[in-house]
Amino acid sequence: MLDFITTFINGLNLGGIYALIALGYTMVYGIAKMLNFAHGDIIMVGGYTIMVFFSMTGLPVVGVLCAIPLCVVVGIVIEKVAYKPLRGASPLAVLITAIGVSYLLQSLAQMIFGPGQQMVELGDMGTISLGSLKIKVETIVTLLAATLIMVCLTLFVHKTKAGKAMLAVAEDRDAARLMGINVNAIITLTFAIGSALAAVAGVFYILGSPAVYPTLGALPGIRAFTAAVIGGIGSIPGAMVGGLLLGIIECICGAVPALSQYTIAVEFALLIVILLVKPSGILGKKKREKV
Amino acid sequence: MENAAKTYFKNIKKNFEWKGCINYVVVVAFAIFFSVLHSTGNLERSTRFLLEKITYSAVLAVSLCLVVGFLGELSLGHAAFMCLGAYIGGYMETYVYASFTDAVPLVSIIVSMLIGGLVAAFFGLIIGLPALRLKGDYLAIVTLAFGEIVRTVFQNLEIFGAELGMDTYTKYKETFILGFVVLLITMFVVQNLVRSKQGRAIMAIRDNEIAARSMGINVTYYKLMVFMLSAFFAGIAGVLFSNTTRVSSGTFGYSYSIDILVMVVLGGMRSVSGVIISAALITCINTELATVLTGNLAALQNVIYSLILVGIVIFNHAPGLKDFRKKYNFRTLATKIFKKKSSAATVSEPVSETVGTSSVSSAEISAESSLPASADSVAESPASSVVSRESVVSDPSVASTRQADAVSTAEAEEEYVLKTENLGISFGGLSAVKGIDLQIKKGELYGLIGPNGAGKTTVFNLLTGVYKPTTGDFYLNGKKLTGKSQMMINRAGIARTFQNIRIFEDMSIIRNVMVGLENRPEYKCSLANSIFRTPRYYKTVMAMREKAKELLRVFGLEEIRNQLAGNLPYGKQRKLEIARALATSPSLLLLDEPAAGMNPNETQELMDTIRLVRDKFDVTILLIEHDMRLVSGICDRLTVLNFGTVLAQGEVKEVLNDPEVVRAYLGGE
Repeated sequence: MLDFITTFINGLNLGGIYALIALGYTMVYGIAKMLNFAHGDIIMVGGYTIMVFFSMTGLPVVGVLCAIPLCVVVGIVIEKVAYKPLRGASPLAVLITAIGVSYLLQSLAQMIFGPGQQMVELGDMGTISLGSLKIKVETIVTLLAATLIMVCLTLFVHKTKAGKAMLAVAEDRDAARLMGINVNAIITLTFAIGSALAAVAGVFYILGSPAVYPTLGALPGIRAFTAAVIGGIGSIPGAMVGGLLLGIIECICGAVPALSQYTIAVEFALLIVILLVKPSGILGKKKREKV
Repeated sequence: MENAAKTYFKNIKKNFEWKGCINYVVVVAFAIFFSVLHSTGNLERSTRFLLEKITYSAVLAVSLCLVVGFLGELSLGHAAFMCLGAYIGGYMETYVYASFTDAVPLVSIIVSMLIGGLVAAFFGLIIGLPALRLKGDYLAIVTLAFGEIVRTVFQNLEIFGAELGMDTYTKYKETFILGFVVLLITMFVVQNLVRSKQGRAIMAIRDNEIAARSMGINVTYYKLMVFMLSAFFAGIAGVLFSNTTRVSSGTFGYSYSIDILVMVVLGGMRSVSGVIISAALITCINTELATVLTGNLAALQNVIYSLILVGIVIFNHAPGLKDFRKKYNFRTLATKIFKKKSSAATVSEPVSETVGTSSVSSAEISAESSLPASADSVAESPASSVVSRESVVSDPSVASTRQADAVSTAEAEEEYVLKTENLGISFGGLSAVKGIDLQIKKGELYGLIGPNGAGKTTVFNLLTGVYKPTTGDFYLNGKKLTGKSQMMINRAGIARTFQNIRIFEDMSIIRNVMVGLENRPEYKCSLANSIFRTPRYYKTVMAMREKAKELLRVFGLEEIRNQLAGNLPYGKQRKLEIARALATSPSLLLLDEPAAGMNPNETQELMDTIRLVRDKFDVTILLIEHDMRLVSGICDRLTVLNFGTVLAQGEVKEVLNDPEVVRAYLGGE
């Protein structure tokens, strides 16, 4: 029983990270109408930034504070150079470009830092004990951060002018433009926020497994996409729900001896099932194509 | 018998795609060259190894090209099919046949390849099933997921060596020649498929799936077929791989799938020859660079490839660069160079399947329709045996009497062409359309009018199977069509045009119409016929071409039939859409706001066209329109919709003077 709770809590930890990444995916998908394959790799960029500044200054805080703006910049540059020219092009073209960008980031990292793993020990935040149950502080911090960010994002999107503009662009881009909304700026803002979230997720990810390598972001990225879809792509609470759910499922699979090797297979199987049965996800809305 | 053979060879000669042959010639030349070297002992092992790598990479690239370029779906797990072929075929070849000491090496390797290919094809079917429901991004992720699942499974199977993989080899000695042969076969099958009527249907699905469905194309069959065929060849490529390299799951991961994708994009997604060239190029470059770029620099080539990938896609697809592309694409440049040489240039503009997307490939000029078939040379073909709809040519007086007859005979016969009973649909709690009772008689020009949002297009969508009704039924010529799929409804005899024109812009005009003929039973032609270019295939295609020309002639589009549909002005695009719908031989034609965006002259022309269509093609027409001049000018009867229900129904004059209708829709005096 205790093991189960521990696994469950680990799942929440991982799930919180996935939720943060999924939030970025879902926002970009809802507003820019594209799947940013390179989103996961932003985490990797953040990770390497932390590593570089940490090894330079020995202070984890510096690394974290530098990673977030850098990731934002990278995200914005990618949007302007690779995605913006393709607005209005076929979805296939945009998808291939996103894959290309992802590939580029991974290859650049490999070229600069080498393919191997580099350790980034940011230190331990300690553990709290509740009776015989040990909870890592970082788990609580991750969950709090994810919840806080989700709440802030929801408030931002519904209460502020820029946020409402984002909703408008997500709903009908041309109409938004006709209403005087600066669509370019909104899309750039979306990517900026998404990248910042990825950077934060990266920080927590490295806290948990302190190694960076070029393909660091690939698998979490795909998993977070799975989470976003499960929760309902385009929905902010959906990303949260999907992320937590996936994290828990992953940890449970990892704990079961027969399934531990097939964790990724289980997650993908779940994705396929959801896409076939309820493509709009748990909290998503069904979209009807206009004929 | 002799006559049939003569006809066949004449057809082949006339339709022969000379330009497509260049590929085969080049590949065969290379094969011969290297075999000669090999037999004189001058072929180094490393070169042989390189050739094998090139050939299986090329086969792999061509197989992916079929899915990405021609079906238009991104498959990110293609390495998984190769993985399946490599493991299963390799295992059969190395461990199972090893026990048959007197097995002929060639036979055993062929059997192994077939087994590997068929296993992969089976999984291609499995991955094709989600492809039926998902598109674009989601499908890409699912294929990626599939790839990872396959890889993970093989990574853990003890029988195949788990993480370490297993050694595989073959007893057959000339593996590189085998590679060439397999490549030639792949080219043959894929090229012939792509340049056939089935290929057109596949590209129609790519360009506009909704329009393709509305024309009765069996989308399910084609999607599954493409995935299976593509997986089959990828699996065979995997077996070729296993001949010379040991097999381990780590090879067949996501990055390998990306490498193949780079080859396809670089080669021009829609060009088989381009893809082969780029596969060869990239394989050679990789091999050379592997020695030069060591350590971290090994990633440099991936950096360059990814930059090229992004660059090419942006260059080929960015809407902002459209004019730039027109000036600087390969075909325009080639035409400029060769313009001086050929004085007797073909009258019609050569139509290419690869407009704007080829980069490395030579200009792909599809030869299938660039030869203007003159009337007398077609005399021997059975085109004349195809039942022509226009044999009933009528003059206006006959038309109006037929109209009058229709009214009385409709009461005498039991059937209306279209009968709906309480037809309706609700979305969630909102009923969009409710209680629609229509009775449309044969030969009528029936109008469906009403304010925007009244549900007119929804009714069309219900009648064509895009939506399934939640209440009520509808019958075409007495046959109940409620709940049937778009494909079945079209085959039963309902065709439509769309509010926003959905022609296939990247195809020529005549091809657009030929796609409409695709599922007519008189033009049925199996896949095997298409691939092996049998006499039946040529007969069918030529008949289709003739029929398409007839149709286009009615609309005045025959002269420009080889031009790209996307280049047509709006009014002509409308006509093309109608022609294409008529190609499916409907009893009932649904026109959705055909006069939208037209000026008074065009509208007048359209009115004449619609009358002509009704008379010449013996078809009943139901149209949605806002232009009252057109409606009162040609319609016999009307139904007015408002808020999803029928407001008024009956003769045009009555309805248009009905005070309710005036208040709701037409406005005051």
